[in-house]
Amino acid sequence: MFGNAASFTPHEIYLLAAVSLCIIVCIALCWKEFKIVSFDSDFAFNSGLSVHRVDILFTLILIITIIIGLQTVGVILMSTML
Amino acid sequence: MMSALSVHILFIAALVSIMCAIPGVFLVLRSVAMMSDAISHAILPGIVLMFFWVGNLESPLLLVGAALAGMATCLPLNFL
Repeated sequence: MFGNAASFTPHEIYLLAAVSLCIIVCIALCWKEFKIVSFDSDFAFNSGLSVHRVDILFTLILIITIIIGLQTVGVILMSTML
Repeated sequence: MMSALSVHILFIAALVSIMCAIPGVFLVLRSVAMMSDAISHAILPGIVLMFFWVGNLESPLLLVGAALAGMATCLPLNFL
């Protein structure tokens, strides 16, 4: 419930950093799609973008973010930070 | 002074906060701000159920169970 940021071995820290960087790169690559779908999803659908797929991708990114953050800062701070 | 351990902890905290800030913005824009709260609480029984199934606390399958529980939380949202 509280997370253990201080009990990470250096190996786990590198793993966490690698996954975090992957997620940030993913977000940077899909930035336009997230913008369109967030502001006007009807326009995105009419432009030919698959809103369903972008939704699924966003949910996946959110879940991975939450899982990593849970181990670091715990449940309470995680729902605060997001 | 700053030991190597505290530098590591600060590094992790900075990385996690960067990683949380960006999806949080999109959550607010889509007006589903409490979804992160719901998912983070729903992940916990997902981990427990996978632990009942696998039996090993160190297994990476626990994260798979957590992810499945998180996805199961988001699915009903699309039908509302």
